[in-house]
Amino acid sequence: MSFASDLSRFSVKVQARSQSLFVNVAAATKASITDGSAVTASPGQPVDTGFLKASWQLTFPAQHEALIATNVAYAPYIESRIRADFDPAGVVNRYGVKGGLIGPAMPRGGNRPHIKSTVGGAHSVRLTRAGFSRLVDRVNAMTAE
Amino acid sequence: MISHDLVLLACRTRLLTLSGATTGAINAAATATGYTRAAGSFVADGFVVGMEITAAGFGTAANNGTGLATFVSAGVLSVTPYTVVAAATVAGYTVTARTLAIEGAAAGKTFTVALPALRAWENVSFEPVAGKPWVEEDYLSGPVAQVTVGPLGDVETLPQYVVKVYGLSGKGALALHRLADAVLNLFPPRLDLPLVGGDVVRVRGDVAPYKGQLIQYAPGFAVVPVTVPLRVRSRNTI
Repeated sequence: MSFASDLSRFSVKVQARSQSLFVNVAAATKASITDGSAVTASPGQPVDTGFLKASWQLTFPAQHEALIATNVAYAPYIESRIRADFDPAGVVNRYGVKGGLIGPAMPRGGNRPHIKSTVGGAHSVRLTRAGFSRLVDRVNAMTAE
Repeated sequence: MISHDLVLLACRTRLLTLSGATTGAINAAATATGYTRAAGSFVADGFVVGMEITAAGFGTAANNGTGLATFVSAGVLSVTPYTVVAAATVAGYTVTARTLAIEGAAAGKTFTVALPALRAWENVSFEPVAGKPWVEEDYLSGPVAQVTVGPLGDVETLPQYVVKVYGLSGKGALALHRLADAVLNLFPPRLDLPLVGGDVVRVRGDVAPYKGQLIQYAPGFAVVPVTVPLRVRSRNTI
């Protein structure tokens, strides 16, 4: 055993650990957005048909890059709790937009948007972003165990 | 532990001081369709179509108050005037049209763009009014963690204050983005907001306040959300 071989093994170990941490953080971030997280206080996605929740995808466009995204048109309305009805089935609506706004222009009889789900809620991305450093700390602690 | 109601009220109090544009005291006249000035420029002062402007300093009461800017040039500010009054109704406010009266030019008139008069505060009944800008707040309590060890350790809470600025669709992006930018300027990173009881809520710098995409809200409105991440540390009492 030489010092050089020790360094080499240490380097391999650090790289493996870094890669593991990166992948696990990406997965935990997506889970915080879709399923909710006690670490970030994200409520996760609301579920009526499951269309929105299932649409969130985690991909790795580059070695050190993770992309968590949805292509559902009404996702920004859910995220920011914009007062608008939306089509949970994602069908083409009267504006010709798939998964976009439908129904009455403004919800009547109340001042909250139409989120029918009893699970999940709004602002999941916002809360995950704000709590990201804590999420990394948590995943790091778990990876080290 | 912190009182979230105090954090919300501190943020709201700060938001109420919003200033999106102002002329300062100028020499101006009122016409049947708006206001005119001979010197200076409404454009240079930051006014754009779609903003809710507030006029003050006119001798005729009907010429003072809010209105929607429908045309802006250096010397002309055309508006659709209206008056907003808070009401204990489902809508939350009553909005009535107002008619401007012709009034000659004189000094001491001011025009400002402040927080829209129609405000949807958390859990307060509100209905948007067609053709009128409005704002909505969301308060997110955020996660809590004890960050220093032992009894009476520090508890760190990460709340967020979200302000959604609603403007008129089809009027361009400038009015909405300028008001949203004014919100951002009002909550710069590291800003301290003292709370009653001694705690201080600080605007975060590691995740600084940010503005979202302009999205359409059907029909007639577009909206830009502004997010203000906050950090509060308080003493754990256990």
